[in-house]
Amino acid sequence: MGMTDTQLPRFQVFLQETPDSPFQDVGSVHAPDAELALLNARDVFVRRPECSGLWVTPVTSIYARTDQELAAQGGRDDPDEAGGQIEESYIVFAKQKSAGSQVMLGEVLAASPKAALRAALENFNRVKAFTWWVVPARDITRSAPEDTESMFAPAREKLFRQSTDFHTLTAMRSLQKEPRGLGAGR
Amino acid sequence: MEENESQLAVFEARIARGEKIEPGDWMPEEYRRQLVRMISQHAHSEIVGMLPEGAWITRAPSLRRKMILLAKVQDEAGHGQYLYHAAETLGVSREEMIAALLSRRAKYSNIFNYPTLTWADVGVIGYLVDFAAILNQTMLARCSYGPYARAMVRICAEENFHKKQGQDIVIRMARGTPRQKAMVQDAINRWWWPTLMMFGPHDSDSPNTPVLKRWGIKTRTNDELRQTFVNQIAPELHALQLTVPDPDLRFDPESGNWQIGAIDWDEFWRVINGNGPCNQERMQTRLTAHVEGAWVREALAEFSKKHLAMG
Repeated sequence: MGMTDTQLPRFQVFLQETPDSPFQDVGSVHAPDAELALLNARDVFVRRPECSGLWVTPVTSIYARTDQELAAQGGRDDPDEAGGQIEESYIVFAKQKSAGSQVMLGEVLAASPKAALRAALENFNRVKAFTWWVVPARDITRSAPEDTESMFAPAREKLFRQSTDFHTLTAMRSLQKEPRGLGAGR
Repeated sequence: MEENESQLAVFEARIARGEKIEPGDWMPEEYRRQLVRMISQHAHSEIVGMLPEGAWITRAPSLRRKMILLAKVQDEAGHGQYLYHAAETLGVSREEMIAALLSRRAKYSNIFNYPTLTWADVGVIGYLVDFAAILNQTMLARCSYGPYARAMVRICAEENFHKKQGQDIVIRMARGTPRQKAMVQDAINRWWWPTLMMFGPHDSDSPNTPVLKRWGIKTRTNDELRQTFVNQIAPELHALQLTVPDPDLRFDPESGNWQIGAIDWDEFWRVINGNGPCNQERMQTRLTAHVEGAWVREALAEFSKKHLAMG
């Protein structure tokens, strides 16, 4: 297939349900850049409430290690081949529940992704996680707080797209009680 | 070889404990292959599944029904995205998956090769087809592969809206005028058997089931899911004074199951192999959309290149 058949780069999406809850991984979208990725993420992941914030990051910016991979290396990540000198902020995500997703734990300062993971394992040493992700904070594009209302509020008013807007259970129950109901059609 | 065996033992023990397997974890090649096959087929089904109902958006009988149908079709586009993403975590690219669909190497759910002839079809698809999908997807929401299970949890919540809006249409038409009732009965007559076929071949003819069960991808068999569907839907249709197009359907008090007549598997294989009423039309629509969207993808890629170059 030719160049025009690209499905564009992939961006991981993190969603915050309420202003007090942590950002967590919900999946990914394809887009030519982070700005459009953010808009795609809204269409794909916020067709319904609740959402108060979205982050996107190129999937290539995520440094991920599973518990299994760390265990194979004696419980810690292997050292950097060439660690950088300048420390920057990394956001740390961990999957703590087997059926859960990657949830934000906090931030660490480090000079490379591997150093960031080592710092995360030390800082959050009480956390027992199945999978760890670290992402440079500067690679994350965030929805602007002033756009929250225009981006996420419309989903709240669209009650017709909620299953609770249809009272089919009640309707079926009352039909099945009618004497002409169950079995009468045959 | 030995290493492989001990890894397999660890893998199977994790699944037995109910742990989710995540990208990066060791997994047998066959586990990856089966998941890519299932998830990409599932994603294609969501994308092609927009077409039969999408055809009724412009003809919905009221503004409210139009908004509901638009929301439902939009959900299906979203479900396709969730699923392509889950498959991508297994190392297959979206380009490869789309190419497989467009070159007809990949399949999608057979049900979408049938036409939507009347508005009642929109109700019956939501009520029967989406309920059948929910049964399968509720099972998959508990599957052993984390990204697939998480996609399914999101999808199931939204599918419940799809089923209920369809059931709502069917209830109203079944209690409506004689013409409305005849229209919804006709739709049930056409969709009943293709819906039962959605669960796939009988367990005795389903070679993938044992390995899928062992690795926690499936937890129930095709026949078990099909039986759950019939037990729920047959009495509901009777309560609506609608009939099921199966002279052999009967309630078996001993097992507590509604037993169905023989499924016409010749039709199933005929349609799945490309000779159903809408196979050509569906694929042509997807192909046209892909070709006609090429300039958009190209423009987006060019724009972002310039954007990046300007910093």
